[in-house]
Amino acid sequence: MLAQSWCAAFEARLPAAAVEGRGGPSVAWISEGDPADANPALVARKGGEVGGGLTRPLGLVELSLGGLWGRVPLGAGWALGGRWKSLRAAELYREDAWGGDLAWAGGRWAMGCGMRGGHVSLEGEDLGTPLGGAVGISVRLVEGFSVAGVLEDPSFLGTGGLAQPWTLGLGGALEGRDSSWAGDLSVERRQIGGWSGRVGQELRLEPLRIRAGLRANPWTISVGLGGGFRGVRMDWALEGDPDLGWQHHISSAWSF
Amino acid sequence: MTMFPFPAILALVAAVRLSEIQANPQEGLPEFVELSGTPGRCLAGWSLSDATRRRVFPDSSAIAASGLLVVSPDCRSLREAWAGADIPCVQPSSWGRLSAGSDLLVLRDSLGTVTDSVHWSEKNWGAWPRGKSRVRTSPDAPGSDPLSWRISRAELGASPGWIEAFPEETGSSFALEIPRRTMHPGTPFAMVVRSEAPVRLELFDLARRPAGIVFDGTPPVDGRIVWDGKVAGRNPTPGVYLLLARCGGGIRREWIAVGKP
Repeated sequence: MLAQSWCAAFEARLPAAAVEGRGGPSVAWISEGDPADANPALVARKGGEVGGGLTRPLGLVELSLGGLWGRVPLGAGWALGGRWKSLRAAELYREDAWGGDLAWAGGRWAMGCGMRGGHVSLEGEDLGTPLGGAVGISVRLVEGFSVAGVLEDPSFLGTGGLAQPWTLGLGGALEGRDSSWAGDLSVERRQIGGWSGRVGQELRLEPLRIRAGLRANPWTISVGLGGGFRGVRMDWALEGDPDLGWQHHISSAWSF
Repeated sequence: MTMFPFPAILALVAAVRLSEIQANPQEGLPEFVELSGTPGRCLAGWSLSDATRRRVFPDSSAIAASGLLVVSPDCRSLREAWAGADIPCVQPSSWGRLSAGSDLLVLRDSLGTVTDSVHWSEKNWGAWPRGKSRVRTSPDAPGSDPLSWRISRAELGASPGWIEAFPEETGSSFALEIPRRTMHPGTPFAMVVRSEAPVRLELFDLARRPAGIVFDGTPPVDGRIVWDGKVAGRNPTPGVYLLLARCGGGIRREWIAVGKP
């Protein structure tokens, strides 16, 4: 699934600079500092991690978006993941969204499923609390698959039927034998908006990470830098386009 | 600071009008209300009332040569803040604090006749930014119409005793102005798009996906465009969106929060 797409009110992605520096979340591959919100199966692909990030959507100073994420191995290949993000717009508008995933990985395969939810308010008015689900499959180093669908919340009905577009994602990833680089490609089909895609690349010059990404429909480019020490890392990314604006992402994560 | 006195314009206007309001000043600065009218016009006995208090002007009150008069509870602080500028300012007998959230200001002459009034609320005007005044676009613009007032762009957040020159008055012919940042589909939403050339106004969500075209064409002379809140015949889903106006190579951006119909 591409969980970030379940409703127009929740279009802003959880700000994780390691992800945004590569053009957005991947359905096939997970890196350090990655909330794994594009595919719940990826939660079981890495060890435990907690992290958080901040950004100003579209570079607008009156908007702020922050988020936290975490995942923890449960043993026998099972893992739990969770994330939360909050968007504020000049004390007029607020939205909070959360997601929780359960995943299992064994051998070449990983599978996961999750729940998504959220809450929106505008000037104190309660606009709705949509809920949804996600499933995903990931095959190591080769491809990932995910699909999302969200139960429509009655409070969003009558707004034009745009509330719950489903999104299908498919992607692949490659990683160098010496782990000095990794690249991934994702294609997504969204119920409203058609096809889009992204490609990302990460170069590792220990302890540095240098990232670049390109997204199509909408067109954006991104670059990023990161560094870490003893499991704690800081990442930065700049992403956007000349018309709608550029935005900086800053995030930090601790892997264990 | 892009400001200039404009007695020539005000000389044409006989009525005394409210021309600038500061209801949410920075810490340490006073509130004020600026009036515009014919230079030399005596305002002895005039008053300014809001929901709680009536402020009577002193006998010496008169519109200055610049065509403006500032009414404030602390003229001295006002002049000090503007580096000793010769701001024409009078202090009424008493002053009750204005409310930035919602208030009503009524200007009455010495006989008690209402000459001008303005009513604002957060719902219609949006939140009043801290430290910024609201400046009337024209003395003849309807007082309580949100589109008649703009947030000051002066360096100190206000321009007491001066008239600000906004971009369209200084040669730039392309501007996008919205009266507030919230809208509900089905409720007309008036905007001002100033341009002599065709403009395309589009709505984008925060993932940069286009949500639809709001306006495509040459704006009317007064720039006023009323949006019915629909894009491609449908109501946009609640959320935060970007309004992007394109004209030639120029771009103007404003964000807007959309609620339920």
